[in-house]
Amino acid sequence: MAVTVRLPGSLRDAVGGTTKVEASGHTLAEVIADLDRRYPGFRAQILDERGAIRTYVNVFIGEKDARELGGTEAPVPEGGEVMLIPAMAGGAQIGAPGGPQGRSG
Amino acid sequence: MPPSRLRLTRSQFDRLVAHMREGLTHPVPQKRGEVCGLLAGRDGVVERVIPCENVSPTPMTNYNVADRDLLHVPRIEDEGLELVAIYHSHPVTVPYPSPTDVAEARYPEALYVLLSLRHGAPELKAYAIAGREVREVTEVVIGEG
Repeated sequence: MAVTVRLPGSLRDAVGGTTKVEASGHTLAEVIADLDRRYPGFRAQILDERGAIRTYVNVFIGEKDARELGGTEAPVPEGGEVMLIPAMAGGAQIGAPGGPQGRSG
Repeated sequence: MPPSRLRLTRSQFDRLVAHMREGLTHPVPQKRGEVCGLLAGRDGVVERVIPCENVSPTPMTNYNVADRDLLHVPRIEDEGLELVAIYHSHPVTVPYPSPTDVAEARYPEALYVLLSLRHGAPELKAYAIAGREVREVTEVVIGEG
């Protein structure tokens, strides 16, 4: 299953600086694994030690939040797009919630 | 690399200031505070202001761009434009990136624009943030139009 993975922001460094890369897999986990094989260390940028999507990474399959589609087990359609978009956050308080909505970190 | 300059029109600047003022007068008091958004364009020249929703639970001191608004980033690229800057406001403090702003900066290809009304008159500053280094971009031009 061939898909296009789009990576704006700092995540592009994990795939050699490009904002768009082709990958294969039937699920989000398989797509990430495919990219990790080609770009060692990629998985650790996207998933934490428990294999969950990192709080500051927003993953969309098409335009749907992957967390609502099953997280890493979310199916990825043939020819579809997976977007890995870092959170945009900040504030005056150190340690205040700055990651994706409703999630700590 | 982020742009080395920022150029916007007077009407775009006014749009940013209006957004900042909206953040301070939100009809729901708990939602008053910092505003945030994106600036799209090319080579530091802004073509479009994209206000986003701040969904931080503590908006007076934090911003967090709504997940659905993050989808503007690939759309900007699809339109042949660049993400020139991410902007947010510091309503009553200096227009300089806080330690949290720096720690959360994940778009080294874009500028970080800070707006402030701390002295009553609106201020706008632009910065490049890479790693933990902050560098002010001094070529900020607010032109006609």
